[in-house]
Amino acid sequence: MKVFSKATIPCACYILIVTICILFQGCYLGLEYSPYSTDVDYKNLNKKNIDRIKARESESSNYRIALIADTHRFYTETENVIKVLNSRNDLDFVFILGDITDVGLLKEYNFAYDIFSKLYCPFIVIAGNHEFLGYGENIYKKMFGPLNFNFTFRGTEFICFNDSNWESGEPDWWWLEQTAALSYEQHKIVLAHIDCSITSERFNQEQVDRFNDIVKSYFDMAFHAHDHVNSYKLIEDIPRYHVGSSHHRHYVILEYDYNTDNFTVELCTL
Amino acid sequence: MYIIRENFYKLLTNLIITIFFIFACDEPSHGHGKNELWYYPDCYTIQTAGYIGFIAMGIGFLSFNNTWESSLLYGFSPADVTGKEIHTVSWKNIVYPFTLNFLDDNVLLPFYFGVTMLFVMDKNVYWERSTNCPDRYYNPTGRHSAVSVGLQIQGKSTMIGLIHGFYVEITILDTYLKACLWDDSEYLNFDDVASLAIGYKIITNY
Repeated sequence: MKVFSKATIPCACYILIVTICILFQGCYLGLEYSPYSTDVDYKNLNKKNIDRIKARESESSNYRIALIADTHRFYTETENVIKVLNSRNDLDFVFILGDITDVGLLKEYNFAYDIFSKLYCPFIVIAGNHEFLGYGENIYKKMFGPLNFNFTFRGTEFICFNDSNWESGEPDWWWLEQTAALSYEQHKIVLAHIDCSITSERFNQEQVDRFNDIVKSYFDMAFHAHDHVNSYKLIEDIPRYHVGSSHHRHYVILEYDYNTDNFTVELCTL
Repeated sequence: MYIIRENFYKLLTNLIITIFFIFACDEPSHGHGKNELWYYPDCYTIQTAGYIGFIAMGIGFLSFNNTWESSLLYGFSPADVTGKEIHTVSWKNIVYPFTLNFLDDNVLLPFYFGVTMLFVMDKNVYWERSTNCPDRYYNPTGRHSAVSVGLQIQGKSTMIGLIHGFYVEITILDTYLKACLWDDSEYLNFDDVASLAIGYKIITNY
């Protein structure tokens, strides 16, 4: 170790300057006690945004909504997508179909919220599989609300369903079926982060059949995300849309025309 | 590689114990007295923030002519502060490249850097891999690492013959560092990902 000779004045100056810099910067940086903190600043955002959406219920019978997904780690690209959505000025609200964090840390939730809050219209966040990592599920519930929830808007029942089975256990198929069955709305749309309409390493034939039976019985269409690419397929005559990642600058526009009672879905890329 | 991956926790534990023994037995470099036992720590540390807890306490060993400090700290964060009680164990390694003497017995360590491995003790997170997901589907959620740079001032107490050290550090967690450097360097700034830590230590053998 190199030991310098006594240098009181330079040392004192160094300590003074560095301490002032660190304390000044420290006030700005703040103290972070644990990456696993669940002490959220913003609570029940989905409920608050649903209230904002409901307040606009009577303005029209048509609606136009945007869907984005898998924004985790791709902050600049997400911000660019949000700038485009804001420039449209014709959206009633935006769905964010999950995976807004990478490892479920509070700071990642806050990074995501900072970007989403720039939207001019209300936004609804659905939990993706990455939201369950660490203590992410606790944070999601505090920040956004229940994992499964539903609301109506201009004659459509939107049912947001958590199907991240590896991370949070068997999806609550019974809740999905009951919620759909008890709704009197003319149209019903299900939104779930992972596509459980085909067998995969996550979903066996029994689970797929259960989901497809429910969708076929009650729903007009289904929206999913998770695989980061915009796509469309028809299963048992029900359209299924995949919303791509904002990493690839993908988003989807869903439009409903009351006069023709038709849905139009546009898969978009910036 | 498979064996290393499957036995990560055991290997890490062995590594920590081995390094501690090397540090503790390194008598000539940190000058243990003749009457002191080899396993006596060289310093006792208390720290707040820096991701290792609202309050973290532990012991440390100095080695390589006091240029390397290896500490083991237990950290606690109460539910009032972090939303839920969090218990962590941290293994902190610091390198002190420079030392400046000033005002007789005072020492300034003007710049140092360190790497901390952080383990949270909770059954809901995992140190190796989740049992529900395929191998390597996710990174472990129960451990993180952090890098830090800091400044330390040490002063000798003539009353009791101990050295007091006060330090401040700027720390960045691995997840945020990766996000800032690789994932999205345009959006995230240094201010977004760095945080401050403050600590005090008593050094018994220097």
